[in-house]
Amino acid sequence: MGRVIGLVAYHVFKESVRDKVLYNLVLFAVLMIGASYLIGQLTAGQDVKIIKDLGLAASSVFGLFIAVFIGVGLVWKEVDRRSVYNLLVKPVRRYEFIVGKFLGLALTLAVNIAVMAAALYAVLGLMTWLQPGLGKAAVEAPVMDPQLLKAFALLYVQLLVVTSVALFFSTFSGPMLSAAFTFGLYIVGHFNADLAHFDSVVKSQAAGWLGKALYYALPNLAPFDVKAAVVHGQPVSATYVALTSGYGLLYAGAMITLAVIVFSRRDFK
Amino acid sequence: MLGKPPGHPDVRRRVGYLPEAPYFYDYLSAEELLNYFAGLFGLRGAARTARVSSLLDRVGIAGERRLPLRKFSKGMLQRVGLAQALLNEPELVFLDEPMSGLDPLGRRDVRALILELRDRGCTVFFSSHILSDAEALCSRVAIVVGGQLVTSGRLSDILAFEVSGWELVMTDLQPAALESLGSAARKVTRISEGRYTIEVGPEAEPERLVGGLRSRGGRFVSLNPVRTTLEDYFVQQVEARKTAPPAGRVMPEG
Repeated sequence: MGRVIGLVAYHVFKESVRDKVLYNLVLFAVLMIGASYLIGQLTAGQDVKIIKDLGLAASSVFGLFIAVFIGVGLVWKEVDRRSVYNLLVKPVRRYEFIVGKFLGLALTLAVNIAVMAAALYAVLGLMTWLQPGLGKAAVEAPVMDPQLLKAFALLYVQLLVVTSVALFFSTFSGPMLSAAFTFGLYIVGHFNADLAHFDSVVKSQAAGWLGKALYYALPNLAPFDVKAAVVHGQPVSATYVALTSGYGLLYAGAMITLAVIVFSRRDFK
Repeated sequence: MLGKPPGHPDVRRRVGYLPEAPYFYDYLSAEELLNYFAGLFGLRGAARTARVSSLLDRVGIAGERRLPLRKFSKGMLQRVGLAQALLNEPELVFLDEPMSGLDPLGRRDVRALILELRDRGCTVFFSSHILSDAEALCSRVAIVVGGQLVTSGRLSDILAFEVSGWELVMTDLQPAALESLGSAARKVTRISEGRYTIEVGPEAEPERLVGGLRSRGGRFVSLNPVRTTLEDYFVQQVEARKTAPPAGRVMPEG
């Protein structure tokens, strides 16, 4: 029933466009161009790093906000406004509704990240053109480094994980609580590695096991952040990108499965 | 339902539904919304376009088809709701309060639409507080009081459509003429000078009564049979249940 999923997804995307979500891209562009102008006063080579850092950081912050704030409303809003009643009497299965919602936001995020990546390359290109000696000065990594794409790809998969978490909460909880939980999990996810080694810092064995259990249950988001490595020209292998993406997609898949289970058990009256 | 379990997609393909307070996606226009839902029913291409435009025309919002739904009034949303309930040419339609939010013209349109659906062989199941609509449209009704089904059946069986009396209006009646009625008159109401409404029981022969009054100088205005209405029946049913909360509703089938 891919057609139904596609229709639901398309309308999530359409809603985000009509609600002017993509306007954040204008803000992003202004930020990048403004920053490149200001930072242009710094030493050649340093400015390239800062622009890359800033571009990747801004992409991840903007993406995170979109994923969380649209994600937590995906299902909740339809239930709250009762539009879901009218949709579920149509030949739409509940899993198609959930998967469609997820893919719709995934599409919105894909467009966002793609445009941001293009904007970052455009700014870097502009800088190279304005300062002909820049290519030689940027010693650690080339100015128009294709590695940046790996950083964007991992950022995107990470946002899919965040979206799936937000969507899961959205199936049974209001937006405030869901947003708080999702942001909480995002932050925890970045310090998750500490939990794996929890047993070496605490004496109690039970606490160590609990740490391990949480480590596997909670999303592990730190590996998705390769900004520093890419900016400083350290290699990020394709295998690493593939494995990390695989983990992210599996995690997102599990969250969506949970969301489908919760949503299918809900009785709308 | 329709020979399958209620939630089955094949059933949903053959059923239409209008929710009580239709909220649709207000970022869409009426046309886009109908296209979306038509797509969910598997309609596509020219067939979809044709179905959507004919329904927009049918419910009378063709002129506003490109307007975003957030600008629609309650009555217009109700019309969109009706249109989307009929996208799949259903065999069975559930309408929750189809008349609410509509002006008198809109109500007349909806009544005509329901009768049209009936003529096409579609079963219409609707709920309403407006009993005269139910009485005018339905072949079978059910009364629900406080969430409990009180009664159901054919309207003709419930009301038995018997004449429970006559309501006679005459003018230029002298007091003597009124006195001549004696115990035949159940109730006499004075409307203006010499003009009276006289209610008589079913056993009275109205022709003879009118003749008698005319011979005493009265002039005949009108004579109407008094029938039990659905409203009377409804009130009777509700009052029969002492514990019942005030809000009841009729769920008729057209």
